[in-house]
Amino acid sequence: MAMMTDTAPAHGRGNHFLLHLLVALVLLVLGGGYVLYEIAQFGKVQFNTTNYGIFWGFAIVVYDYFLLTSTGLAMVASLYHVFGLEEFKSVARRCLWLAFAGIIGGVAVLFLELGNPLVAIWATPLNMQTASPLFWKVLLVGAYTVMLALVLLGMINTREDKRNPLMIAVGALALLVTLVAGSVYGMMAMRPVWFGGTVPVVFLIESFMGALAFTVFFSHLEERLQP
Amino acid sequence: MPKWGMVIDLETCTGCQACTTACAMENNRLPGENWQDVLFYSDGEYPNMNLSWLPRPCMHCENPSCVSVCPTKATYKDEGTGVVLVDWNKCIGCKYCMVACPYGVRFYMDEAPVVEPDVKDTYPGDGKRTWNPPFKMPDEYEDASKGIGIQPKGVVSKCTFCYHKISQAPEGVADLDEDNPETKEFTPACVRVCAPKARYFGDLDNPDSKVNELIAEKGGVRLKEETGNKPQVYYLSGGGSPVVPGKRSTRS
Repeated sequence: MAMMTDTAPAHGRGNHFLLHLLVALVLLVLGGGYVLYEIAQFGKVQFNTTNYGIFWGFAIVVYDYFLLTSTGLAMVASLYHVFGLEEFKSVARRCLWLAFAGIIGGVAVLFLELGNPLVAIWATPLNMQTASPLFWKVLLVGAYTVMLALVLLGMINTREDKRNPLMIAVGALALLVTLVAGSVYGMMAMRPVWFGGTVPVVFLIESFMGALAFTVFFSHLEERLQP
Repeated sequence: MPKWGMVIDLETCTGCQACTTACAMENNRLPGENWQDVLFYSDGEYPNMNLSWLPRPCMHCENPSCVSVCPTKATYKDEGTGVVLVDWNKCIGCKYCMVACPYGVRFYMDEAPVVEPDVKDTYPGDGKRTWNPPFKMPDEYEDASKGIGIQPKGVVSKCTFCYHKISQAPEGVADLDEDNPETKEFTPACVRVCAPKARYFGDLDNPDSKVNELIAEKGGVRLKEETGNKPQVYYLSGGGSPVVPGKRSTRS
């Protein structure tokens, strides 16, 4: 039976790696440059939020999407590293690198949207507002990113198939980040559309869906890039 | 220590918006971004229709959800006055407090102008200031740690109950009344200019205050009690009409 991690047929492949890399970089420069130009020229008005209901706009959606996809990818990698499911062995390493790219991209978008991102770095951990789910989210995302970076640093020069015990922490943090991210919305009793205990569960499902989509897409891309 | 609160008599309020204008002048507000707003609602169709309005300042809740959710404690409840304030030095502009506020009384200014043309272009700000209005409070009143002054970029602002005035009030006074020469200067701008005298401002912890008398005798109610926020702003409706415009009403 064909599996998700099976490789594509070898025939018909070409070595387009540099071409794809170049296209990706050009798109990054064009897209990123456009965003930075718009913000520098017109300010954060370009995010199209208002004081009358639309407090959080597309930037927050993008941030949360990449954050959840990242935690989902870390959880998919944990299926092999923590639980030893061999089916996910061949994609575990890729999932972790994608998770790191996802979290960096998501936080970068968040920093563009925040009014004072640099203040957030020191003011959030130092003021200990434990009643706020956003406080816990920031702390957990920070811990998750550091642990993920440590795992990846350790992986660079080791065998690909070696299970990493640090992944227990990464997987647990990924799960917590996902549920707390859902609580940021789910705890808002004054916003009936968001309110409810099912929201963190929905976030968890979205996280896995995003992760599986990324895994499938990038596995196919990687296979096609092989000479 | 006083616990300042406000009573708004909806039967007396004429919807003239003098409170809105006075607040804007006192607190350097951008047109359309009114800390003290009057919301207008219509119900039905002409000729069988009803126009109603609701003056809406910050409720300065006893149990404010904006304070609970602020990840940096930039929004806090001032112990000495019971007023909810924002420390602009610690605000990161995440806008979670705006999401958590059930009353929609918090403002972020890095957005498209509510009123065209954008006067921020006419009076551009320097440094951190979002703009430099031709009218503004004296610089010595400004206090970023309490959210008083011209709003900087990237932070959220809100009504302070004119903290720069009420915090200077003589100790022990039960009410800050514009008709009393001794307390006139310490009365919030919206209360002071209310021509039909629909607003009262006083100490909710003082049993002799006029606000407590009105709440008790005329049945003062608070908005959205179900949220548990416990506002310190009470509305009087005379018992004959709903305090909040009906659910079928359309915001105009």
